[in-house]
Amino acid sequence: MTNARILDVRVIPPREKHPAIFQTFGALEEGESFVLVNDHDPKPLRYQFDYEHTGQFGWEYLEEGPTVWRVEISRKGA
Amino acid sequence: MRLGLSSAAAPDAGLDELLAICARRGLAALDLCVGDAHGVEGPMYGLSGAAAAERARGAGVLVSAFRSGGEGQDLRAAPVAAAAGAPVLVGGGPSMAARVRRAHAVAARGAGAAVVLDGEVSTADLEVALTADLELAWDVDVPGGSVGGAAERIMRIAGGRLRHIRILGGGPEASMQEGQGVGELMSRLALAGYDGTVILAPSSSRYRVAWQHWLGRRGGWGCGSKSADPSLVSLDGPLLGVGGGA
Repeated sequence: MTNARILDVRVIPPREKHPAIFQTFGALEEGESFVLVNDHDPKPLRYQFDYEHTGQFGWEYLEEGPTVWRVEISRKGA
Repeated sequence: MRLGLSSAAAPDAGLDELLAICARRGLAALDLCVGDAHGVEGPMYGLSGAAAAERARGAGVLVSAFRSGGEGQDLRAAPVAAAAGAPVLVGGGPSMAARVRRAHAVAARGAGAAVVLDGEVSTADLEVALTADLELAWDVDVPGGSVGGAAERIMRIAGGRLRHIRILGGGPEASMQEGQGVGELMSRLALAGYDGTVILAPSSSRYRVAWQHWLGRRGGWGCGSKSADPSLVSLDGPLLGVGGGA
Protein backbone atom coordinates (compact mmCIF):
# COMPACT_ATOMS: atom_id res chain seq x y z
CA MET A 1 0.00 0.00 0.00
CA THR A 2 1.18 3.56 -0.68
CA ASN A 3 0.16 6.88 0.78
CA ALA A 4 -2.20 7.66 -2.10
CA ARG A 5 -5.42 8.28 -0.22
CA ILE A 6 -8.40 7.95 -2.48
CA LEU A 7 -11.97 7.60 -1.28
CA ASP A 8 -14.17 6.43 -4.13
CA VAL A 9 -17.71 6.88 -2.89
CA ARG A 10 -19.40 5.64 -6.05
CA VAL A 11 -19.58 2.20 -4.51
CA ILE A 12 -20.96 3.36 -1.15
CA PRO A 13 -24.72 3.26 -0.43
CA PRO A 14 -26.10 6.82 -0.46
CA ARG A 15 -26.87 7.07 3.24
CA GLU A 16 -23.32 6.01 4.15
CA LYS A 17 -21.48 8.35 1.79
CA HIS A 18 -21.28 11.50 3.88
CA PRO A 19 -20.47 9.64 7.14
CA ALA A 20 -17.64 7.82 5.33
CA ILE A 21 -16.29 11.08 3.94
CA PHE A 22 -16.39 12.86 7.30
CA GLN A 23 -14.86 9.82 9.02
CA THR A 24 -11.98 9.95 6.54
CA PHE A 25 -11.62 13.72 6.96
CA GLY A 26 -11.73 13.35 10.74
CA ALA A 27 -8.76 10.99 10.67
CA LEU A 28 -6.56 13.43 8.74
CA GLU A 29 -3.70 15.22 10.42
CA GLU A 30 -3.14 18.90 9.71
CA GLY A 31 -1.79 19.29 6.16
CA GLU A 32 -2.94 15.87 5.01
CA SER A 33 -5.50 15.29 2.30
CA PHE A 34 -7.47 12.68 0.43
CA VAL A 35 -8.98 12.56 -3.03
CA LEU A 36 -12.74 12.11 -3.15
CA VAL A 37 -14.06 10.37 -6.28
CA ASN A 38 -17.73 10.69 -7.15
CA ASP A 39 -20.07 10.33 -10.11
CA HIS A 40 -21.55 13.80 -9.75
CA ASP A 41 -20.40 17.21 -8.59
CA PRO A 42 -20.32 16.95 -4.76
CA LYS A 43 -21.56 20.52 -4.21
CA PRO A 44 -23.96 19.60 -1.38
CA LEU A 45 -21.02 18.03 0.42
CA ARG A 46 -19.09 21.27 0.02
CA TYR A 47 -21.95 23.14 1.70
CA GLN A 48 -21.93 20.63 4.55
CA PHE A 49 -18.16 21.10 4.97
CA ASP A 50 -18.62 24.87 4.93
CA TYR A 51 -21.17 24.57 7.73
CA GLU A 52 -19.52 21.94 9.91
CA HIS A 53 -15.82 22.64 9.31
CA THR A 54 -15.70 26.32 8.48
CA GLY A 55 -12.16 27.39 7.64
CA GLN A 56 -10.71 23.96 8.49
CA PHE A 57 -10.61 22.36 5.06
CA GLY A 58 -9.26 22.86 1.55
CA TRP A 59 -11.28 21.94 -1.52
CA GLU A 60 -9.69 21.62 -4.95
CA TYR A 61 -11.29 20.11 -8.02
CA LEU A 62 -8.89 17.79 -9.86
CA GLU A 63 -11.44 16.58 -12.39
CA GLU A 64 -14.92 17.94 -13.13
CA GLY A 65 -16.94 15.38 -15.02
CA PRO A 66 -18.68 14.56 -17.14
CA THR A 67 -18.41 11.01 -15.77
CA VAL A 68 -16.15 11.35 -12.78
CA TRP A 69 -15.49 14.16 -10.31
CA ARG A 70 -12.29 14.18 -8.23
CA VAL A 71 -11.82 16.64 -5.40
CA GLU A 72 -8.79 16.91 -3.16
CA ILE A 73 -10.00 17.64 0.37
CA SER A 74 -7.34 18.69 2.85
CA ARG A 75 -7.27 19.56 6.54
CA LYS A 76 -6.00 23.04 7.34
CA GLY A 77 -4.48 24.18 10.59
CA ALA A 78 -6.79 25.45 13.30
CA MET B 1 -7.43 2.91 -5.35
CA ARG B 2 -8.77 1.95 -8.76
CA LEU B 3 -12.46 1.23 -9.17
CA GLY B 4 -13.32 -1.36 -11.80
CA LEU B 5 -15.81 -3.83 -13.17
CA SER B 6 -16.04 -7.61 -13.13
CA SER B 7 -16.92 -9.31 -16.39
CA ALA B 8 -19.43 -11.25 -14.23
CA ALA B 9 -21.60 -8.14 -14.43
CA ALA B 10 -22.01 -8.73 -18.16
CA PRO B 11 -20.81 -12.28 -18.79
CA ASP B 12 -22.04 -12.27 -22.40
CA ALA B 13 -20.17 -9.05 -23.33
CA GLY B 14 -17.04 -8.97 -25.45
CA LEU B 15 -13.95 -7.01 -24.43
CA ASP B 16 -14.85 -3.95 -26.49
CA GLU B 17 -18.30 -3.71 -24.92
CA LEU B 18 -16.80 -4.07 -21.44
CA LEU B 19 -14.40 -1.23 -22.25
CA ALA B 20 -17.30 0.91 -23.49
CA ILE B 21 -19.16 0.23 -20.24
CA CYS B 22 -16.09 1.26 -18.24
CA ALA B 23 -15.93 4.51 -20.19
CA ARG B 24 -19.62 5.21 -19.52
CA ARG B 25 -19.28 4.54 -15.79
CA GLY B 26 -15.84 6.07 -15.28
CA LEU B 27 -14.34 2.72 -14.26
CA ALA B 28 -10.62 2.16 -14.70
CA ALA B 29 -10.07 -1.60 -14.26
CA LEU B 30 -11.43 -4.86 -15.63
CA ASP B 31 -11.44 -8.14 -13.74
CA LEU B 32 -11.99 -10.90 -16.31
CA CYS B 33 -13.56 -14.18 -15.22
CA VAL B 34 -12.32 -17.24 -17.09
CA GLY B 35 -15.20 -18.62 -19.14
CA ASP B 36 -17.05 -15.33 -19.70
CA ALA B 37 -17.52 -14.12 -23.28
CA HIS B 38 -14.84 -11.37 -23.21
CA GLY B 39 -12.85 -13.36 -25.76
CA VAL B 40 -9.49 -13.03 -24.03
CA GLU B 41 -8.49 -16.65 -24.40
CA GLY B 42 -5.02 -16.58 -25.94
CA PRO B 43 -3.84 -16.45 -29.56
CA MET B 44 -5.09 -19.93 -30.45
CA TYR B 45 -8.72 -19.27 -29.53
CA GLY B 46 -9.35 -15.53 -29.29
CA LEU B 47 -7.71 -12.30 -28.28
CA SER B 48 -4.26 -12.73 -26.74
CA GLY B 49 -3.57 -11.41 -23.26
CA ALA B 50 -1.07 -8.89 -24.60
CA ALA B 51 -3.46 -7.60 -27.28
CA ALA B 52 -6.28 -7.32 -24.74
CA ALA B 53 -4.11 -5.42 -22.28
CA GLU B 54 -2.98 -3.07 -25.05
CA ARG B 55 -6.54 -2.45 -26.25
CA ALA B 56 -7.67 -1.79 -22.68
CA ARG B 57 -4.77 0.59 -22.04
CA GLY B 58 -5.80 2.55 -25.11
CA ALA B 59 -9.20 3.00 -23.48
CA GLY B 60 -7.67 4.08 -20.16
CA VAL B 61 -8.52 0.78 -18.48
CA LEU B 62 -6.24 -1.70 -16.71
CA VAL B 63 -6.87 -5.42 -17.16
CA SER B 64 -6.30 -5.95 -13.47
CA ALA B 65 -6.78 -9.72 -13.10
CA PHE B 66 -8.04 -13.00 -14.49
CA ARG B 67 -10.30 -14.84 -12.10
CA SER B 68 -10.17 -18.62 -11.90
CA GLY B 69 -12.74 -20.69 -10.07
CA GLY B 70 -11.04 -24.06 -10.36
CA GLU B 71 -7.89 -25.97 -11.22
CA GLY B 72 -8.82 -26.43 -14.88
CA GLN B 73 -9.33 -22.69 -15.27
CA ASP B 74 -5.96 -21.96 -13.63
CA LEU B 75 -4.15 -23.66 -16.48
CA ARG B 76 -6.17 -21.79 -19.10
CA ALA B 77 -5.69 -18.44 -17.40
CA ALA B 78 -1.98 -18.60 -16.55
CA PRO B 79 -0.44 -18.00 -20.01
CA VAL B 80 -3.06 -15.41 -20.98
CA ALA B 81 -2.62 -13.55 -17.69
CA ALA B 82 1.16 -13.67 -17.99
CA ALA B 83 0.94 -12.12 -21.45
CA ALA B 84 -1.42 -9.44 -20.14
CA GLY B 85 0.80 -8.66 -17.17
CA ALA B 86 -2.09 -9.36 -14.79
CA PRO B 87 -2.31 -11.94 -12.01
CA VAL B 88 -4.60 -14.95 -11.82
CA LEU B 89 -6.88 -14.76 -8.80
CA VAL B 90 -7.23 -18.31 -7.52
CA GLY B 91 -10.57 -19.06 -5.91
CA GLY B 92 -12.95 -21.99 -5.51
CA GLY B 93 -11.88 -25.51 -4.65
CA PRO B 94 -12.21 -27.55 -1.48
CA SER B 95 -9.87 -25.70 0.90
CA MET B 96 -7.56 -22.73 1.39
CA ALA B 97 -4.56 -25.07 1.38
CA ALA B 98 -5.62 -26.29 -2.06
CA ARG B 99 -5.87 -22.70 -3.28
CA VAL B 100 -2.37 -21.97 -2.04
CA ARG B 101 -1.07 -25.04 -3.88
CA ARG B 102 -2.88 -23.99 -7.07
CA ALA B 103 -1.61 -20.41 -6.79
CA HIS B 104 1.96 -21.69 -6.57
CA ALA B 105 1.33 -23.79 -9.68
CA VAL B 106 0.13 -20.69 -11.53
CA ALA B 107 3.20 -18.73 -10.41
CA ALA B 108 5.41 -21.60 -11.58
CA ARG B 109 3.96 -21.06 -15.07
CA GLY B 110 5.23 -17.50 -15.12
CA ALA B 111 2.04 -15.65 -14.20
CA GLY B 112 1.33 -13.53 -11.19
CA ALA B 113 -1.01 -15.21 -8.73
CA ALA B 114 -3.17 -14.16 -5.80
CA VAL B 115 -5.13 -16.27 -3.33
CA VAL B 116 -8.81 -15.36 -2.98
CA LEU B 117 -10.32 -14.86 0.49
CA ASP B 118 -14.08 -15.42 0.67
CA GLY B 119 -16.37 -13.04 2.58
CA GLU B 120 -15.82 -13.31 6.31
CA VAL B 121 -12.86 -15.66 5.89
CA SER B 122 -11.72 -17.23 9.15
CA THR B 123 -8.48 -16.04 10.68
CA ALA B 124 -7.13 -19.60 10.39
CA ASP B 125 -7.79 -19.65 6.64
CA LEU B 126 -6.33 -16.17 6.31
CA GLU B 127 -3.13 -17.34 7.95
CA VAL B 128 -2.99 -20.33 5.59
CA ALA B 129 -3.38 -17.93 2.64
CA LEU B 130 -0.52 -15.80 3.96
CA THR B 131 1.81 -18.81 3.84
CA ALA B 132 1.63 -18.61 0.04
CA ASP B 133 3.80 -15.47 0.17
CA LEU B 134 1.70 -14.13 -2.71
CA GLU B 135 -0.80 -11.31 -3.15
CA LEU B 136 -4.26 -11.69 -1.64
CA ALA B 137 -7.67 -10.96 -3.13
CA TRP B 138 -10.76 -10.45 -0.99
CA ASP B 139 -14.33 -11.09 -2.15
CA VAL B 140 -16.46 -8.82 0.01
CA ASP B 141 -19.85 -10.50 0.32
CA VAL B 142 -22.00 -7.52 1.23
CA PRO B 143 -25.38 -9.28 1.49
CA GLY B 144 -23.73 -12.11 3.41
CA GLY B 145 -22.69 -10.22 6.53
CA SER B 146 -21.28 -7.14 8.19
CA VAL B 147 -18.43 -5.83 6.08
CA GLY B 148 -17.01 -3.30 8.53
CA GLY B 149 -15.85 -5.75 11.20
CA ALA B 150 -14.38 -8.17 8.68
CA ALA B 151 -12.56 -5.31 6.95
CA GLU B 152 -10.75 -4.24 10.10
CA ARG B 153 -9.56 -7.80 10.83
CA ILE B 154 -8.63 -8.77 7.27
CA MET B 155 -6.82 -5.52 6.51
CA ARG B 156 -4.90 -5.73 9.80
CA ILE B 157 -3.73 -9.30 9.18
CA ALA B 158 -3.26 -9.16 5.42
CA GLY B 159 -1.58 -5.72 5.38
CA GLY B 160 0.00 -4.76 2.07
CA ARG B 161 -0.58 -8.23 0.61
CA LEU B 162 -4.21 -7.32 -0.01
CA ARG B 163 -4.22 -5.98 -3.57
CA HIS B 164 -7.55 -7.01 -5.11
CA ILE B 165 -10.97 -6.39 -3.59
CA ARG B 166 -14.20 -7.45 -5.27
CA ILE B 167 -17.47 -6.12 -3.90
CA LEU B 168 -20.25 -8.64 -4.47
CA GLY B 169 -23.28 -6.40 -4.40
CA GLY B 170 -21.85 -3.14 -5.76
CA GLY B 171 -23.16 -1.10 -8.67
CA PRO B 172 -26.96 -1.01 -8.81
CA GLU B 173 -27.19 -3.13 -5.66
CA ALA B 174 -25.42 -0.50 -3.54
CA SER B 175 -28.66 1.23 -2.61
CA MET B 176 -29.84 -2.02 -1.01
CA GLN B 177 -26.70 -2.44 1.09
CA GLU B 178 -27.11 0.44 3.54
CA GLY B 179 -25.80 -0.26 7.00
CA GLN B 180 -23.71 -3.22 5.88
CA GLY B 181 -20.41 -1.41 6.30
CA VAL B 182 -19.35 -0.64 2.73
CA GLY B 183 -18.80 2.98 3.71
CA GLU B 184 -16.61 1.91 6.63
CA LEU B 185 -14.65 -0.39 4.32
CA MET B 186 -14.00 2.40 1.83
CA SER B 187 -12.97 4.79 4.62
CA ARG B 188 -10.52 2.23 5.98
CA LEU B 189 -9.06 1.66 2.50
CA ALA B 190 -8.64 5.39 1.94
CA LEU B 191 -6.99 5.94 5.32
CA ALA B 192 -4.65 2.99 4.73
CA GLY B 193 -3.62 4.46 1.36
CA TYR B 194 -4.83 1.31 -0.40
CA ASP B 195 -3.85 1.58 -4.06
CA GLY B 196 -5.11 -1.79 -5.32
CA THR B 197 -8.33 -2.41 -7.16
CA VAL B 198 -11.94 -2.36 -5.98
CA ILE B 199 -14.07 -4.32 -8.43
CA LEU B 200 -17.85 -4.10 -8.69
CA ALA B 201 -19.68 -7.39 -9.27
CA PRO B 202 -23.18 -8.78 -8.85
CA SER B 203 -23.99 -10.71 -5.71
CA SER B 204 -26.44 -12.92 -7.56
CA SER B 205 -27.91 -13.50 -11.00
CA ARG B 206 -31.22 -12.32 -9.50
CA TYR B 207 -30.07 -8.77 -10.16
CA ARG B 208 -29.24 -9.35 -13.82
CA VAL B 209 -31.86 -6.92 -15.14
CA ALA B 210 -30.81 -4.18 -12.72
CA TRP B 211 -27.19 -4.63 -13.76
CA GLN B 212 -28.06 -4.60 -17.46
CA HIS B 213 -29.82 -1.30 -16.95
CA TRP B 214 -27.04 0.17 -14.78
CA LEU B 215 -24.44 -0.80 -17.37
CA GLY B 216 -26.46 0.91 -20.08
CA ARG B 217 -27.14 -2.29 -21.97
CA ARG B 218 -30.94 -2.00 -22.09
CA GLY B 219 -33.41 0.76 -22.91
CA GLY B 220 -36.08 -0.34 -20.46
CA TRP B 221 -37.09 -3.00 -17.99
CA GLY B 222 -38.72 -5.39 -20.44
CA CYS B 223 -42.23 -4.68 -19.19
CA GLY B 224 -43.30 -2.68 -22.24
CA SER B 225 -43.42 0.60 -20.35
CA LYS B 226 -40.86 2.31 -22.57
CA SER B 227 -43.13 2.21 -25.66
CA ALA B 228 -46.45 2.36 -23.84
CA ASP B 229 -49.05 4.78 -25.18
CA PRO B 230 -50.08 7.12 -22.32
CA SER B 231 -53.29 8.06 -24.16
CA LEU B 232 -54.67 4.61 -23.34
CA VAL B 233 -54.92 5.53 -19.65
CA SER B 234 -56.75 8.64 -18.52
CA LEU B 235 -56.56 9.95 -14.99
CA ASP B 236 -58.86 12.89 -15.69
CA GLY B 237 -62.23 11.13 -15.66
CA PRO B 238 -64.38 10.28 -12.62
CA LEU B 239 -63.30 7.35 -10.52
CA LEU B 240 -65.99 4.70 -10.69
CA GLY B 241 -66.88 2.49 -7.78
CA VAL B 242 -64.82 4.40 -5.27
CA GLY B 243 -66.51 5.94 -2.29
CA GLY B 244 -69.90 5.36 -3.81
CA GLY B 245 -71.54 4.66 -0.48
CA ALA B 246 -74.93 3.04 -0.09
